[in-house]
Amino acid sequence: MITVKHLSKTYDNLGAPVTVLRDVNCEINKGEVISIIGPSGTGKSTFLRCLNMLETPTSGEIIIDGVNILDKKADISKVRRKMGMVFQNFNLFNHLSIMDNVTVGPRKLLGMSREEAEEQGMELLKMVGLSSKANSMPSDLSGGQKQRVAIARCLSMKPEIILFDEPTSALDPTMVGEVLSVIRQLAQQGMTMAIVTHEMQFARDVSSRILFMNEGIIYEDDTPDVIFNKPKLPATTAFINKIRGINVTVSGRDCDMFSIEDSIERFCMKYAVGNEVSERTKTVVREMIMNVLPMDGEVEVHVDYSEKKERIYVTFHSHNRTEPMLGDTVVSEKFEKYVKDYCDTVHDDSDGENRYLRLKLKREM
Amino acid sequence: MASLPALMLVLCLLVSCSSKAGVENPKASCTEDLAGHRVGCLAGSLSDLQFDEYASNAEKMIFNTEPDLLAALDSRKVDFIVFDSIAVVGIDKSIHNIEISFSVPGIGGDIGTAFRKDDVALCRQYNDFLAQIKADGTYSAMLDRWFSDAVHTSEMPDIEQYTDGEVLKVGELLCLPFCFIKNGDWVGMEVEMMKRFAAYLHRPIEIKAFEFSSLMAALKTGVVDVWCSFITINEERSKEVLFSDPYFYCPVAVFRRGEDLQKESVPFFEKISDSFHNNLIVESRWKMLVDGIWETLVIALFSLLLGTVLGGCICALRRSKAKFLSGFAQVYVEILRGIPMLVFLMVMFYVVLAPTGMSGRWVAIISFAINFSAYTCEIFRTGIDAVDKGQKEAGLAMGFTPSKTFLFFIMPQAVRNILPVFKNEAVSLIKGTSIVGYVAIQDLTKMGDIIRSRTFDAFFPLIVISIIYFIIAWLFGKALDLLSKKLA
Repeated sequence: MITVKHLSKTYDNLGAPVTVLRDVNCEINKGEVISIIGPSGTGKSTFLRCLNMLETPTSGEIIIDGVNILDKKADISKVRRKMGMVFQNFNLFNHLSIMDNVTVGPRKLLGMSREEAEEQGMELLKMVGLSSKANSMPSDLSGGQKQRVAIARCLSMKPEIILFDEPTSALDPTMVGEVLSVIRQLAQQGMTMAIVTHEMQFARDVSSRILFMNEGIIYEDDTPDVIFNKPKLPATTAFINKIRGINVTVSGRDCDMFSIEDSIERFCMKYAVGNEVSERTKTVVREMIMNVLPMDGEVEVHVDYSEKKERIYVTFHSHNRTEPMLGDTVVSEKFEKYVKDYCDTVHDDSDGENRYLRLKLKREM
Repeated sequence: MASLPALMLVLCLLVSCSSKAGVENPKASCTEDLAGHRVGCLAGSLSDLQFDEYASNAEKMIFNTEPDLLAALDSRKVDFIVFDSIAVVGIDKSIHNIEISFSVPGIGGDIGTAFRKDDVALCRQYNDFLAQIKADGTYSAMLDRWFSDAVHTSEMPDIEQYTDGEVLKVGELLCLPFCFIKNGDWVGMEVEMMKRFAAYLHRPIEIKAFEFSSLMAALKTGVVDVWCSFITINEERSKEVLFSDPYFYCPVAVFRRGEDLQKESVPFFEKISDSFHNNLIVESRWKMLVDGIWETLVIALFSLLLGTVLGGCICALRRSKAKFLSGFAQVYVEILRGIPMLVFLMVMFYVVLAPTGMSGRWVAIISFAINFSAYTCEIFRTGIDAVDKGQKEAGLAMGFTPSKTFLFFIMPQAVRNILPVFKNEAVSLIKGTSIVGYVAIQDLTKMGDIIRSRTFDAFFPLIVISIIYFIIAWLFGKALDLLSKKLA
């Protein structure tokens, strides 16, 4: 359906050329749900926006139904009608009512009558659960509602594929779910979709294929199972590990504790870890850094969560250290006093050059 | 609407304050006595040109029109005014209590009519004409008719008028008793002389009134053929224009405020109603205001429409990707924003559009439209830029072409951003048209001036026209508010 060959994109940043995409090749077939994941700034959104020419590629080919849309003669507006796009910031037409937002395309571009278009619009709004908002204005809606309307607006054009550009990134965490379930529903109905997302769990559940993008190329292209459980390439492995936990390097007690605690809290929320455990994790990390560990060198703090065991693990990793981190009697006493109660097990290991202190936190009481 | 009574109150206070009395008026009996005093004179007149010869130690203040000069004396902005002695003929002493202090010895001048340097034939014809009317007694009859205090009751004699042939275009200055408007007709000493001259030539005549300072330009650029406004012949002017034989010698005199008359105190409202009667009812002068309002509205509305359309086009160029086009638009905007409107209007009237012979009204409309377009261009641009970029992307991604995306999604949202600022600029434009009098258009402001030059009432006509401007601007603002509500 869509074939991308040797796609490159370079733009000029104050005289210095910046390459966002370098030689991207890929194929999207009918009925596929493709998630595009990867670190920030690696060209995921740019790649998606090249597919409908919102960004102009520097070179390469994008062939849709046999037509190279980079060809100057190609009627790009016509091609775009078959490709819906859902934006991070919703981009509903602010001056039009919800009903007008989902009917303007069919009426002006597909030649539908107002009655037909409104009938279809109502169907679509029902499908995304917002038929009661037909006469509201976009400004009256919450972020999640706006995004669902944006999806309905896409569907109003009866597209053959929908491109999602980080559809939940601008949403409050409480509203992410409602939007994801609409997309899930579309996937079940067999809609072809390409989704740039940071929602890993969602990507894993819904996708037929995952593209892992890194530094402007499609670094690994495989099934969710392979990408998430046994990635073949090292950068993918590192990324997958990273998204499963928090890594911070702390060089002293004067570190930014607030930001660390905040990321722990968000991490715990993401995995629906209870409030109590979340508070406990924060306390453990804070007390270890502020009171227990001597902090005589850099310490890497790693927080991760095992979904199988439903446990939080906190690891302190100290480079170039031979003696155990809790070896000193004073430190040991402090550990007993402040932290021990929150932990089930404590492992103090070494691989010869580095020391690892791995704490397994207690479950919710 | 609550602001209207408040405005009236402020203006009434202004009026009542302006006629305060009780301060001793300075006196002078010879030129030395003027030293240290503020002395007013009329721009370009003898009193202005030879000021240093008779009042080198006085503080000079120059005014553009006779009513301004008189008003300055009344309101104690100046202590004396120096003036062609003949020009105080017909001034109502109950409105302007001025009295002659002394005639300035040795200052005075020959008065002549001016033609273009290369228009020798017309000048020669005029001189022949002058000799003829002096010989047959017509000229002295004219002097009797206009240069006396009976000037207000004098009637224009019947003069033959021609409709065929090339129009003789005459530039005049509105000033009693030379040229003024009575019952809607041009009358006065110079008007009669020019009408007689046109009849002598068997040509139709068109009279236009200018500020003194723009008459030279009007003559030289061919906007008028004859400049007849009681001009003193001097060397400097003779270099620029061709003067006829002199037809009058006018001495210059110094005037002072008269002692405050023991006026019976007239009740305030009676005073207002008197002013109302004198300025608006007598000779149906309100009709002049109606004509003025019409002229102002025509110029304002046409330049508003034209300027908005032009502004849209310039904005399109400004947003163009072609560097040449956007650069052109940027320069256009910068230049126009940097030129004062009055200067721009004069340049358009006397230089750029002078060869086209276009009427003053259209020159004004075009000039204001061009000026307005520079501002609307920027308003449109910021209004469009303020629409979120995502709106455009959403339109494009659905499959709308760029132009349809602009039409359906960007423009409706931009209009909402634009309207409040646009309203401000539009109201400014309406008020800004008050300068068109400089190019001989009789708009509302000019009509006010014409009435003032007849009645010598400095305040009432000004107050009336300011109220009219206020109402026009207010109504217009309301109309735009309605429009924006409808769009919102």
